[in-house]
Amino acid sequence: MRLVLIERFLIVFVSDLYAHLHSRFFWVWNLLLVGGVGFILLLMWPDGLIRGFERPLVGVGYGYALSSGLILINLHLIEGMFSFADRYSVREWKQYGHFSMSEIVMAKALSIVVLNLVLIMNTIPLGLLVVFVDGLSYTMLGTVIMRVLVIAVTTGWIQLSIGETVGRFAWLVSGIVAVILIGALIITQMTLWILVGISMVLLLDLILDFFGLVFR
Amino acid sequence: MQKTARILAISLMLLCFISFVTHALTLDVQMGFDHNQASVGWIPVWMEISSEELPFQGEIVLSTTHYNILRSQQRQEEYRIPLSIPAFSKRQYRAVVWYSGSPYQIRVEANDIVHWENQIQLDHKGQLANQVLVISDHGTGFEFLRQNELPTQVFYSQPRYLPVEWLGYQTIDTIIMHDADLHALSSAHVDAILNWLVPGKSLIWSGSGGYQSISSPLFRRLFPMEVRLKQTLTFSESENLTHPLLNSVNQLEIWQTQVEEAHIWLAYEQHPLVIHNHIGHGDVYFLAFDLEAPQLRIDQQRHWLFGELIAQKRWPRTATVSMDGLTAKILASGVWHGPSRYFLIIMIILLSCALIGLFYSIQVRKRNVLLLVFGLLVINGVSFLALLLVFNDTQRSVNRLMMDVAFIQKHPLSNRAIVEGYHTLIVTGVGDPEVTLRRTQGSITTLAPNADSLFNLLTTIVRPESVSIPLHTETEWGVAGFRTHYVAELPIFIDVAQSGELLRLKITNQSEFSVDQNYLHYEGKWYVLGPVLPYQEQFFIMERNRFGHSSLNAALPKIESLLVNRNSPDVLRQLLEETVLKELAANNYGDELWLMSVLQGNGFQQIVQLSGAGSREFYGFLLTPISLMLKE
Repeated sequence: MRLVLIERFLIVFVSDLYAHLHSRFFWVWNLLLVGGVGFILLLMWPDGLIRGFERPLVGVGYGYALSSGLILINLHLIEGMFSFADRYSVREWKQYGHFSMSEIVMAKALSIVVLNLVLIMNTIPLGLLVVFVDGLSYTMLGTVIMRVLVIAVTTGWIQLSIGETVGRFAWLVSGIVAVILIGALIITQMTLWILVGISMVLLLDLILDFFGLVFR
Repeated sequence: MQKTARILAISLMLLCFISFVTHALTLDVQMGFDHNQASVGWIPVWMEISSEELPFQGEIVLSTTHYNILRSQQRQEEYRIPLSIPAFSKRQYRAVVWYSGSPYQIRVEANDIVHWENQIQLDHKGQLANQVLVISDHGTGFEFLRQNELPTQVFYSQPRYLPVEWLGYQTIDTIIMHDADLHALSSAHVDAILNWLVPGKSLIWSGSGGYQSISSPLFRRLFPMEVRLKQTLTFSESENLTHPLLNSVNQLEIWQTQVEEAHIWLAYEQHPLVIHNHIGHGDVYFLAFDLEAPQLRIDQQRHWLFGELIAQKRWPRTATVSMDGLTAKILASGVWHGPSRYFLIIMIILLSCALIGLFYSIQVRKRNVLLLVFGLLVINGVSFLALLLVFNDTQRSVNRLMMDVAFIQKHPLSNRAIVEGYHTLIVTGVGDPEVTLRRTQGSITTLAPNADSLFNLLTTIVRPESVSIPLHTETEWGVAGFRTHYVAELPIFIDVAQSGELLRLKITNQSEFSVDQNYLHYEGKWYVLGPVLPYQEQFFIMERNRFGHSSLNAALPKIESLLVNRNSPDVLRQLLEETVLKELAANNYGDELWLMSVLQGNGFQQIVQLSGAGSREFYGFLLTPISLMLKE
């Protein structure tokens, strides 16, 4: 029976999503993220004094901790410790499922968006607590979450490309990317549209292989 | 026709000329007192601006530099006074500004164009134990006061330059009115001098000058008595030798006065020579004779007289009147009432448990993944509601929290106190606060050395006619620091008596404030006394050299246990109290008796008010010189 495009897309998407959600390691990720962000907040928690005229830094800490944690998770650097048995790579989907690259990549990209949404939503209660200590306003919390979501999703997309193209030394490249991204996040005001642009180019390259056309 | 054309042409030329004319403005300025002399503190500024051309609207900007402790840098501070002047006219402006020793830049500007600019380098005088202001038309004649045993600084001012706010006289201890044309004094001047006098200052009115002096409204408010014509007294040789003032005086012209005996401080037979009256806790003296009389022109006699009058009731002065040096510590100690670290730990544990629960449902019990979405929504919703329920009130109060640290000085038996308030206003979220101060009792200064730039209106001066200042914040987070000076009712009375080795102290607290703790400085040592509850009276008896501590640091209670949460508001309050008390104790009190009291309560809300919902943290530090009450 010939499947229509949307069905093939949904098969990859749901399969990838379930592979994560039904894995205990995804929940370990969740717990590590909550614990890590919580630990950073504990370190930066206002000590009961209004220091000078500055707003408590805990809001900034929340944003940085969440972004850094999600970068590490999305670059699969924590994953080395675990294995997601039910998750298939792009290559496997293409080889065994006979799906097109565009269907697989789009489905996996959407799956990354949903998984990051779940991860971020788990830490929102901590963000709300930060609002109650005046580390962030509600508007700023919304902005931070949107920014973190964009960073996390684009990092996930970059990792999708790295995982499929680099091969054996993917963890090394991912490590370098993580250092660059976290460094850029903390040291400079990372401009999101550059990150979005890079990730879109890499995704398109996965689908169209135009880098292969150019550099062959 | 030709004539009309000529008139039109001339009119056009005139119009062109007028339109090209710049605003010819001149500004006459006096800062501090005569010859721009001033000591550190609040000083009056008198400005007369005249426009020789078109009407002018703009601002007078007084700017100076203050060292900003929090930012560790010199920072430009400004007072801005709205200016409006019709064509070909003069107008006077007065202000009271804080002088820290740096020169002032004065400029007149409109639409960012500077029309007049000048720098005023004040003649900086050190702050001595006794600061005397002589209000006179002559600007001389009282240099002999500098030879007084008490180090004395003498300033002169003509009546027209006097400030109309009592704060402008804050650095002055004694005013001498001498041969001054007082017709320039307004009712605001009279109110200002009375407000300055009431807490316990002194004013001496010399009998020099004509009838216009003693018929002035200020004189009538100070001395409710009948003054008739002058008469000449003749002294016999045997009589005049008995009194230091009348030594070698044969004749003296005096004002005839009809006054109750209780008010006579010095008299010759039935003729009052020096009349005394109380204005609140202040003292006013009327010298019925002319100080310029040839027989009295010997410095020794005048020296004796003024030495006696000034020493009658002198406020011992603390080493630093302003708590400027403390501002950073006060602001750094803004107590924060948010959720504690422990709450965060509980939150992390609960969140982890909820995640494990979700994992168990989906992975082990194989429930639908939609449960995950539902579960996440429930976790977030429940946490938000729980936080709102537990911390909403706290957050609302933090949204507009005013830290109010009051440094209070008071005569032991006076119920009126001079309060120097340091306010930190923390505003988060929406809505601009407004601070109101009762004008008749004090002034808000917006020149807080540590005012935050986030509040864009903080540098606008509060004119005497203003009653409130709105603080507009452009962001969702803002902190303002400002200072107030005011006179407030504080019915806490202290009586002290010494008998042998024992010192007896009675503190009567008739105020709504609770006196948390009292510290007594006695012969160079600090003694810890107990608290005094509102509307109660407490006796304390001390034996000399027993149970005293050589420093206040040793006298202060210690935060003993390491297990104490050093971030709890109670502990922070204690730390703040310690900081301020140590700073105050760092002054040199010599062997004099001083009482330092820590007050707790709702602050002087009837005088300084914060609009809208919000909370107020009040820390009152009352410093009372009680040596003058000592009875054997």
